[in-house]
Formats: sequence, C-alpha cells, structure tokens
Amino acid sequence: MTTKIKTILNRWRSQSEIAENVIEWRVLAPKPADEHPFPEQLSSQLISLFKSQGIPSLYQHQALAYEKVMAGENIAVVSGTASGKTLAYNLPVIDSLLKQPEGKALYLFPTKALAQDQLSNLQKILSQLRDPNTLRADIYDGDTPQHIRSTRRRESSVILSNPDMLHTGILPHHTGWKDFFNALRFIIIDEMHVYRGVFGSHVANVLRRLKRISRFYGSQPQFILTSATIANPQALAERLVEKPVTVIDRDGSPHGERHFLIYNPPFLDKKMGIRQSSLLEGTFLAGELIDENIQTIIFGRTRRSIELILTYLRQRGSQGNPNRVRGYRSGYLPKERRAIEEGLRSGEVKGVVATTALELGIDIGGMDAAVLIGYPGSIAATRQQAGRAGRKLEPSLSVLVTAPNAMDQYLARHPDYFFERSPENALIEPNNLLILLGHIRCAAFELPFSQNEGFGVIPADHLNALLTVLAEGGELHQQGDRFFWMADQYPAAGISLRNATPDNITLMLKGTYTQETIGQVDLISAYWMVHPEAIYLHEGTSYLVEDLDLDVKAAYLREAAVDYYTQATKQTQIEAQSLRKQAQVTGADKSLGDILVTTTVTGYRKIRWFTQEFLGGGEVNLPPSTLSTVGYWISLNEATVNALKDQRLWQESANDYGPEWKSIRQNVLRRDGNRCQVCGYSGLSQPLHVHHIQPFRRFTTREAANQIQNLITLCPTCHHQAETRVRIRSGMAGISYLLHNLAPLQLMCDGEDIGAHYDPNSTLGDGQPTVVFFDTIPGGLGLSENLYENHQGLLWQGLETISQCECEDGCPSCVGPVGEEGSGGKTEALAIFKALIGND
Amino acid sequence: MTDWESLSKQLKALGVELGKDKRPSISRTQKYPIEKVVPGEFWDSIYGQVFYHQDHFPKDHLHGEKSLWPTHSIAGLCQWAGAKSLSLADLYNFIFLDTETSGLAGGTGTYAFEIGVGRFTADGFLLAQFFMRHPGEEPALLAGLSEFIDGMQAVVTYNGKSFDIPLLNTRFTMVGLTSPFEEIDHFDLLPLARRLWRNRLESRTLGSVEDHILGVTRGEQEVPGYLIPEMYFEYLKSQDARPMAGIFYHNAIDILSLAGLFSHMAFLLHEPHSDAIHHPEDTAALARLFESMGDIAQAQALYHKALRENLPEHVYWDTLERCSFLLKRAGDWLKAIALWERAAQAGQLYAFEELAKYYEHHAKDLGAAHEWTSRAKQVLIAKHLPAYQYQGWQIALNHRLDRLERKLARQ
Repeated sequence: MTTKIKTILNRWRSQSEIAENVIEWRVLAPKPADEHPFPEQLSSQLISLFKSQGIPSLYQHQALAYEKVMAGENIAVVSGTASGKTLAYNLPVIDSLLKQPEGKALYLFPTKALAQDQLSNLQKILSQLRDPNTLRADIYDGDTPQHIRSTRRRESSVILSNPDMLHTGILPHHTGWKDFFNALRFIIIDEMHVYRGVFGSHVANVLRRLKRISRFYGSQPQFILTSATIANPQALAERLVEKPVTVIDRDGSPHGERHFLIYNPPFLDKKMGIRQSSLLEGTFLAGELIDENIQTIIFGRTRRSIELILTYLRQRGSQGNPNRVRGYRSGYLPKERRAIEEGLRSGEVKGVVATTALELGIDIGGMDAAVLIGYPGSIAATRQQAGRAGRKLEPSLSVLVTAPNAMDQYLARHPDYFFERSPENALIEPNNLLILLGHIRCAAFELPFSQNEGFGVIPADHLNALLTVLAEGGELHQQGDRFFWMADQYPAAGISLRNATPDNITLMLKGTYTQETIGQVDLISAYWMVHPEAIYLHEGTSYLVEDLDLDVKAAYLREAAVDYYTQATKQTQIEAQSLRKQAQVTGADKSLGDILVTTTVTGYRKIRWFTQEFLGGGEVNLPPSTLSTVGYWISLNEATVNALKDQRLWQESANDYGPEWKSIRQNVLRRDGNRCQVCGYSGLSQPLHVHHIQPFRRFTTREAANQIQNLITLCPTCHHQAETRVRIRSGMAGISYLLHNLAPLQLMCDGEDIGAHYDPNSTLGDGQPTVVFFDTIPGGLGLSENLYENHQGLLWQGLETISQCECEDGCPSCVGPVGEEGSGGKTEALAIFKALIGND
Repeated sequence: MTDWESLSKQLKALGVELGKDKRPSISRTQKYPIEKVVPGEFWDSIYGQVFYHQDHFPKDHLHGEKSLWPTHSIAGLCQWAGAKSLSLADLYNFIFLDTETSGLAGGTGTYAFEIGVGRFTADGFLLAQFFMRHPGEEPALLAGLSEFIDGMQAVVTYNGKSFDIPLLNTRFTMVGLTSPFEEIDHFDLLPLARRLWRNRLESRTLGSVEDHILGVTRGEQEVPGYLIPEMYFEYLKSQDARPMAGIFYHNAIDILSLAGLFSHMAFLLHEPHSDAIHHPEDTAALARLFESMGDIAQAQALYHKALRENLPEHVYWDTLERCSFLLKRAGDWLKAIALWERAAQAGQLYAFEELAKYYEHHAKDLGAAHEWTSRAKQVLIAKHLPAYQYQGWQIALNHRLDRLERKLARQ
C-alpha cells in the first residue's frame, strides 16, 4: 500500500500539468498512539473483553473521558474522524450500567442512519458481555414499528434516537417513559457540531424540555457530547445543555504519514477568473488513484454531482466491473450499504462516490485516499471527509479540489485553517423568540408551567411574560400560579426542528382535473421564487407560476416548456429599530442592532438559458415582505469617503450632470422615439429616464460622459435594473459580495443564512455609504453579532482575498464577476478595504 | 437578550400567529358556577373537593328499547373479554366509563375534564359524573374517581383500549398517583360491536350502535362530541357553566348506552339462537365470533341456522364458505361437498379448488379432480379479477392441472 501511494505522488510531482496546480502539499508525520492503561475502576469484565479483542489499553482521551464522567462532570469530546470517539462515551456508559443495571441512557444522533451504525458498534460490545441480556440497546425512532415500541420503552437500557423523535414522539408522551426517565443517567449527544444555526437552536430547546421532564421524574442526567473540531466547542456545548462542560480535545489516536494536497484547477481565462471545472479535474485525479488500485473515496457536494462523477469514473474504467466504483448517498438502504462495505473489505470496490451522508462518522473503515471535489462548506466537514483516508499506521492521501468561488479560493491560499485552530464558530440562539415560543408551547403541553419556574436559562419573570401572551391567545389557561395547555392541538406536530418559521407556501400543480402538491417554499422566499409569472424549477422541470395566493398560502403552478428562467427584481429597504452596540473603527462606524428589512419584489426579468440573453420582463404586484432581525453594518465615515473621492475612486450617487443636461435629455428622448429601449414601454403612467451607459463617474469630464452615444432612454423598471448592475461593480457592492461569501467561514453557516445589502446613502448610517449584513432568520441567531465582534478579522480576510486574486478587475472569486458594462470595481474595493484596515 | 417588555409587539413583528381568540372573554358580572347549572355535590378527596353529579335508574329502566339491567348471564361476554373468573355475581363490580376530554390529539397535554362512571347496584344503576372546574382540580378529580371506583374488578368502555384508559393512565402519572386501571380487566365493547355489526351497520360508533341496536334517540340537550373541547375552553374563560349541562347529558347517555349495550351483548352471546334475534346477519356474525373463540359446535350450528335464513347475497356466500371449511375440518365431506357444489354453481373459485383437492387426495378420482380444475380455469377467464388475483389463481390452477396430468399419464 505504501508503495502505491508513494508511486503516484512521485508521478504527480513530476508531471508539470498536475504539479503546477497543486498549490499546497502538506505532509503530516506519522504519530504514535498516546496510550493509557485501563482505569482501575473499570469493571474487570470490560477490561478482559477488550484484551480478548486485542485492545491492550485506551487512548488518552478515552481514559480522560472515563475519569471525568466518573467524577460526575459533563464532557465534550472533540477529536477527529476514526479516533475512537464512540468508545469514549460507550465506555463510561456501559461500565456504569453494568454496575447499576437499573440505569438508563439516551443516545441522540443527528440522523437515523448514524443511529443504526452506532447501534451495531454498541452491540459488538454488549453481545460479548458475560450475560448479554443484562443490557439491551435499541433504536427508537420514526421507523420503529408500533407493536414493539412499548417493549423497547420498558426493557431497553440504552435508547438510540434523534432530536426530532424526542421532540415529537417521546417528550409529548413522557408518561409512557416513566421508568426510563426515572432512571435516566446519561444523555449522549453525538456530533454536536451539527446542532448549529436553526437546527441547533431548536435542539437546545428540546434539551431544555428533556431536562425539565427528567427533573419531573426525579433524575438529573449527565451529558456526554462529541464534536468535530470547531473553534468554540465549549461555548456550543454549554449553550446546548446549559450546564458547565469540560472539553477533552487531546486526541490520543495514532495515524500514519498523511499527505494533504490542495489542487486548484488551472485557469481557462485568467482575466475573467474562469477556471477549469473542479468536477472534471477531481474526477481525473480520482480515476488515476483508482487505476493504481488505491481505494479512494470521492466526496461531491450534490446528488447530481455524485451521479456525474460516477458516470465519468465508470466510463474511464475499462475493466467493465460496475462494482469497482460505487455510489453511496443518503437514502441508501442498510442492505445496500452493507454490500458496499463488504466490497471495500474484500477489495472488489476500489472507489466510493459519496455525499455528506458519510461525513457523519458512518463506519466504512479506512480508505487509502480521499478526493474532495469542492470545499464541503465547512472546515469541520473538510477535516472529517479528509479523515476518511488513512487506516491504522499506513500512509494516506487527501486532495481538496477547489472550485472557483470566493470561499474555495480564499481557503486555497490559507491552508493553515485545515491544520491549526479551526476558525469556525458553531452558533446557536436558543432564545430566538420564534423558536423559543414554539418550544414553550410544547413544554406547556408536556407539563403545566408554574409561575416561579424558568425554562432553561430563561428566568421565571421573562418566561411569565411569554406564558401570559400564550394565555391571552387562548392556548394556555392560567389557574392560580400555573399555566395549563388548553387547546385541542399537538404543538410538536407543527414545529419542524429544521425550520425557523412555520409559515410555508404550498406549491400546487394544476392538472386538468386535479391539483397536487409538489413542494413548499418558506414564506419569505416565496415572494421572489414563486411570484406570478415566475418560472419555478423543481427536479429539472420548469413550472410557470400562475398565481400566488398569500391568504391561503398557496402558489398555483403549471408545467411550462420554456427556454428561459426568471430573476426577480427587488427593492430592499432597511431601517434600524434599535441599536445594540456601536463603535468607531478605522475609517468607519460599526453597529449592531435590531433592524427591519422590507423587501418588495417589483418585477422580473426573463433570461434565456445558456446564452443569458435578456428576453424582456414584467411587473409584479405583491405586498412588501418584512423581516425583523438583527444586523451588523459598516458605515464609511466622511473622511474615508473624501479620501476615496480624492483618489477618483468614489463618486456620490447624486451626480451633477451640468446645466445643459435638460436639453441633452430631450434630444435623447426624441432620438429614442420616447420609448424604453429595452422593453419598449412608452412612458404613459411613469416618466421615462435617460441613462448613462458607461457610468458618469468613470469620465473625467462631464462633456465626455454626456455624449449622446453614451445615453439611452429607459423606463424606471429597466433603469433600476441597469443601475443595479452598474452599482454591483462599485467598490462597496464588491465588498458586500466578498464579505458575504467569506462570512460562513467563521459563522459555520450557509450563504443563505446571512443577507447582505449595500446602500450608498443609508438611513442606518445617517446618509453615509453603508453595507449591512443580517441574519435571514427572523429574530436572528447571533450570526451578525459574531461578525460585528470579528469586524477586523473579516476585513483582513477580504483584503487578502482581493490582493491575492489574479483576475483583472473582478471575478467570482473576489468582488463578483465582471458585467457587460466592463468594470468590476476591484480597485475601488481594494481602496476601501485599505481605508478600513489602516495603513499598518 | 431580547427586550422582553414589548413582547407582543416583537412577536407580531416576527409574524407570530397567536391563538384564534386574541382576548379572553369578558368576564360577566353574572357567573354561572357548575353547581348552579347541574345538580350535584362536592366529593371530598385527599386532594380537595371535586364536583360530581349523581343519578339513579331503577332496575326496570329501559334505555331505548332495551333493558339496562342484564337479563341473561354475562358468562359468554366475560369469556370473550378473557375475564373468565368474572360472572353475573360480580356485576356490581363492573364500572362503565366514558371521558370528555380537551381534545383527541393524545399525549400529556390532553386532559379528561369530565369522567363519567356507572355501575349496577342492588336496586338499579348508579351514574356518577366527576367534573373539574379548572385543570388545577385534576388531582382531586382523579383521586375522587379512584375512591369512587375502589374495589372494582372490571372496566367497560367503548374504544377505551386505545383512548380513554391510556389517557387516564397518563393523567394519573402526571399527578403522581397510581392508576386504578392498571390491574383490572378491561371490556372494550368497540371491537365486539365491529365484529357483530360490520355487515349490518354502516358505522359502528357508539351513537350509531345505540340508535340502531338499542333504539335510543338523543334529546335536544345533546351536543356533538367534536364541539366539546372548545365549549370547555370557553367555560374556563367565561366561568359560565350553562353550556356544560349539554356535556353532562351527552356523557350520561354514553354511559347508559354502554351499560345497555353490555347487557344486550351479554344476551347475544348467551342466547345466540334466540328468536329475539331478528337479523340473520347477526346470526352469521355470531357464528364467526364463536368460531374465533374456539366454540366450533356452536359456530357450526349458527352457520347452518344463518344459511337457512334470508341472508344478503355477499353475506350468504361468505357464511357458506366458512361453514364448508368447518365441515371439512370435521371430516364431514358429504355435507362439505354439497356446499361446494352449490358454490361452484355460483362461480366461486375456491369451491372448484376444494372439490378438486377432495377428488385428488381423498376420493382418488383423478379424472374428476381434473374436470373440476379445468372448469375452474374457464370460470377464472370469465371472471375479470384484478391482475394480481388473476395471476395467483392462474398459477395455482395450472400447477394443479400439470400435476394431475402427470399423474394421469402415469396411470
């Protein structure tokens, strides 16, 4: 094995068409195990069991975990893939339950598949106990058949489940679990870093409910959490369980020599920043590995890319054994997965193409190499996926093939993030009012609240205010000092742990005789995704939206064979509701506050597929939608704006077109026949505008800018489009594009979780140019607040990205792609960054 | 942390939809407490007082057209319920129970705010309805109920196995008491009603059964069950108990119907041949019931009786088929063959198959077996069955035919 990897690495090193794209080549020296003898307290039964399996000792973190749990502490074990994390919690739990057989433990996994895999792990130990019937471990989730549920509730010592089942199936029926809760000693939360953002904020509240019910039955369970490497394991763990948590992050597991390569596909067009497809390049590298009989796992970002990679790899393999390369996605049945795992062990399977389903600790054993096609979206996921390569002390290879977007390109140049301290903060906000309120409903259903009771860290007086609101709404009944659930509803059924708002628009497909539901979009997205006459894409089919009925919360669609898609045009206004924090920073003011984002979808543009040709557009008449949330904004101060103006890198939006403008304007209107030159609108209800094709500020003299060939008649809608496109190129817009794309690195979130908006004369910044970043979840989840606190770090990341980007004037990897009009605003953005960071 | 003072405003800004009624009902100056609306008293339980209403019905009380008091032995019914140790001697220790709840969702947030119970006494039937004036009285309600039914041996409900009893068990756990229902026998009459009247009644809800079987018509006070949770929530806010009278009435009739049905079912199981059973479908259903309880002789007698009566077409053929299989099991081939031949004439495929089996394995008449199998194939083609059934039959019949032909060729 050793030779195979060495051979191919040597070959790649000598082939310049590969070697020149490898922009980072790290070699991690082999590391021996940090071993620790079995603790003396540990039951002799377990010690002899492990010894008989050829395990002579524990890793240090496992021993430490045991010791801390025995001392009654809540712990979080943070370590890499395949480091024996599972044993770190199984050991103290099994040991305790052997000593006190009436005790119970609850294991929570983020997915059902993970619970299945961990069950088989656990049973490997339990089945070899002297009396294998003393401890039963069972899964209890949505797939558990009704008729065996009550047996499991009664007889299992260890229940493996997931937060969703706990939320809808277990807690609202806790009386059926009386004996279980009575004796509940341990709660295991595996892969806690998955519980971030909306999901994590919900789960934190489900845990508040769980603790409340445990308390009702007189138990105070201990928590054991595990996590991939993140920047804030302690903060996340303590926010989730609301108890002090000891973090154990010394990884005592051994590994062989590790090679980590970052492969940046070559430029096709350097000026425009266009690179060769990472999918093709990555597939090629994977193919090379598989050809050398090196067992390789390939991670793609989407289901669709998995299919493509699979097809390419199979076409490449001449031998024609379709089982040589297998796909492995979520949704595979356990039987199929076992067959693939078996094929890997026997050596028949050489390549596995997987989505993130595999990243969460599923036991597929070590591979020789891992190829990650595109940055998986978080450092933690990258580490987990790369960690798939490496068995025991053999050398291993991981390749990250970067895509051309800003984040991938930033990380390509900053590989230290993958090896040193993680920059990622897993953030949750359990006190987000919307999320909290839903769980207070559920908790009241589970057990009446009394007036002097809190909820998690929420003190009684705050809780009381919320309970009173619910009582006034008629869901709770206050009697004396208690609040009782009094509604013919099952509140948990209406709350999905994966969404912040319960408001959704149902997509109805109109057939000739019937209607069927094809999906849902959340209310806020509905305005721009399914406005009337929008083209909605669903599983590769285009649908035309005939109507959006906000009252009945439905959009009516019909299938439409069209060669275009639509892009909503929206106007966004942001006002501050209240200020939380403000500070003067270099060149600007930074602020954090509660804001109201009002978005009006005013129209749409039809754009032809592939050619991106503009096919006209239309108006949309929808009420504005509002989002009440938290935002962080940077307002350039006057000195900065003046300095930029002096460098001719800034022009205020209110241009002085000169005294002749009136007559020039009339000439242009006459020339264009008083019609919008884009859509043909004749200006009956709204006056027509005259637009500068090349922005006014680009010219050194007014006369040059006002030449008649640089002017065009447009209606207000088309003018707005044109201006927006021009503005996108401006420096501030470039900054907003770039920082929006980089922010997920420290926030550990998706791009859609934060919004960005640029306003040249914003009310937020007292008329100064302002860029705003906000949480897109109503009420906020702490994302903007984190950005506010890390203002300087974020700006540095932005500055570095622009300075190191090789494009000429803007590309998708930095300030956004260059538009039809030419300039990308890279120079302007760079100047602003410098002004905001200072000269040192 | 959020600014909690302008909470409602914030919630509104976040788009939170609170409950339907935004304001609590205006409390009227005039209050109507329950004891002013429904005659009753307060039961002193260990957890305080709980309101209850009692009523007594004499031994000869007719509920609808039927006697409330059992006119026959209840042994058959006890056997059906798997409570063989109970008999008519224990009649006073049966409790008839029905709850009125804050919803049907189940789970720990659904309350039973009224629990009606009834039991036979030496001089008739005693009804008691416990009612909580607010959820704070739940411990007293449950304790009162527990004391009232102390010493009971069995509980009789309608759909109580999946609804009332689990719900009450949950309630007892919630207030920290032991449920009195965990140890005693449970007669849920719903599954029995389903078996008895599946063919005759379109719906087997208690309302439908009491109407069609007992001849009960509810009075004007009746409130439909689906309105009950909302009515109670409204009462909690307004403290106007007047609409509760309708709920008490509804619950009382439910209990009486439960007892009436109990007595009637006991009669049916005790005297299945009675001339008072006018519907032949009931006889056929009783036959099936006795068969399932293992009383084959009784089942056989009832099947024959039903077949002599005027059964609706589909019930007739079903009954005949079941009867023929009992005869086959008993080895009474001649009678079985007679039934199968009758069924074969009506094109019932199973009958051809049974006849073919008989001639092949018992009579050893391969020619006749072949003949019946071939005829079955013709019938199958004419029958227009759904594809999966058609294929099943086709495979079975072809298989048999092949085997018979092989055997015939060897002869």
